[in-house]
Amino acid sequence: MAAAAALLALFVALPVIVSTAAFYLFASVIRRLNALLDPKVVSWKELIAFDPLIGWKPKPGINAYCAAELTGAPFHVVTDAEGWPGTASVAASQIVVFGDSFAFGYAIDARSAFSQRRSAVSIKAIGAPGYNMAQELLLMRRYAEQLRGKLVVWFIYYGNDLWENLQPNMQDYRTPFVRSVNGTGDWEIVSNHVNGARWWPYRWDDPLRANERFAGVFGSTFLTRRIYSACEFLITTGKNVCDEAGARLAVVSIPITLQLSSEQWQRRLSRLTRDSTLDANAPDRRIAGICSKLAIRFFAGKDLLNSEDYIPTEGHWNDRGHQRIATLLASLYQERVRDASESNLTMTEHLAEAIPSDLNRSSIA
Amino acid sequence: MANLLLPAANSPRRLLSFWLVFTPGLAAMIATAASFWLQANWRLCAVVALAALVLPVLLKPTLARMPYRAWNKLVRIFGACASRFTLMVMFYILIAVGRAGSSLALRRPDERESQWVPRSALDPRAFFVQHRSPAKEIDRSSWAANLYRWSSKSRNYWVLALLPFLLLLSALDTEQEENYPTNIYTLF
Repeated sequence: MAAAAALLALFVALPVIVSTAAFYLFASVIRRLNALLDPKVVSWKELIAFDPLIGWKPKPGINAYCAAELTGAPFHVVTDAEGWPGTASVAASQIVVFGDSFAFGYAIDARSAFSQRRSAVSIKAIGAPGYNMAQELLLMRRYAEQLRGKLVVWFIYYGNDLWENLQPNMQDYRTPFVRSVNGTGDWEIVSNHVNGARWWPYRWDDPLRANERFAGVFGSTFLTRRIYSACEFLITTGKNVCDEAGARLAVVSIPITLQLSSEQWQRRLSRLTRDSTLDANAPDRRIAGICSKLAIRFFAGKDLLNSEDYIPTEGHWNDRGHQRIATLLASLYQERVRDASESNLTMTEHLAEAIPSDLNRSSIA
Repeated sequence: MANLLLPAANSPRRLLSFWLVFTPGLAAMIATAASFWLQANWRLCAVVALAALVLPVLLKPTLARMPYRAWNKLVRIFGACASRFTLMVMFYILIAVGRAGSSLALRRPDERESQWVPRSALDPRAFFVQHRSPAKEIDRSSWAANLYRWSSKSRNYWVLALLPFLLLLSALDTEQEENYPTNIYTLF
């Protein structure tokens, strides 16, 4: 009976089976052709080297293709003699950006990255995938002597920077971090554990304490107080480094894509937690507060970027996102050069003028 | 569904690959229509149509982005409809088997036999990474073999009739993928 039923069912389902096979064949041929067209890639691990101060750093003089971890799409990587993206030197640049993979230009060809676009203002990016703010501060100190007279822009990515400032590792790499000094309310950077050895077995989809981390960044918990207190310590120290070097510091926040779509935000929230106090704008408000106290120029990336500026299924900026950031940085530099009191334009108005109309964002409340 | 869907359109080479595979069929259709209406040579029409379709995309691959996305949308719609249909067919098989009298047979325990199930200690590696399950992870690639083993062990051979449909369902998996990753690192 079962065999007869199965045979009949197979016959009925035959059109679906044939159609599925046709779709499968079509997709397979495209994948095969794509594999032939794609350049030969090297693994990311071949492109980085251990650095005793900050944990890891891209190798100098790279000119190769690397595959983006989440999509497998190859992208062109070019690094200078010190391992930082592009070929320009810090000395020859008017703006120096410190950050993580967004500063590095991960997942996009080198020529499309904001730091390597043709622009009236030359930009040097110093950053690598996975860096936290403690590492970026250490790099700021390392390059302090070369920052005189420049605009220093610090990228803060809400996806991992704030939380990982408190962690001794990024995945299984040892990384400098900040810890509170007992009883004093102060913070200090710890890096004496940094060496080339593996820190801890890591699984990329490990959901351990995901809710707590999310609530820590976007909510109002005990962890939130620690996260933003550490962040304030780092920004304050960065400001001191820049002041002593004769540079001016500006902070630009980089939102996660969830923050850019109220629908995605609500959907993710309903899966993660029932905490209704979580707010997509909370990190910007808190960091704006810190910067305001320290008289640092702060720009919320959420006010400029939207989902169309990110690579789908990957999460870094696409060509359009990098173009917007290049325009923003040039505007920040011009704002610095101009006497702010001479201009009645706000930054938003200035960007509306600077960014072509086809790139104007569709604002998300 | 992952096998039927094309990867995200985030590389010019992907767009070009799609267009190079997609256009010969399209050019053939256009050539057939043109040769019918214009009474022209089919080969000539095909060459003209192919050149007109391929050259612009060779120069600017992003032109193929919209058809690329439309194709993936079509695959998603097909996947959703086809998997519902397949589930209906599987339900029909289950009803047929039920009518034939098959049922789940549970072994009656022997009163003299102990029901004690011995448990061993956790694997020492489990203490190194405590949040990971110490149990051996299920090999998803061999689920069909697992199903076969279970059906023969439990003598529920009729389950094998569902196997081709389960394979079809796995190819048509309509689980919605996120357009954008929630995070590129470890936070969420």
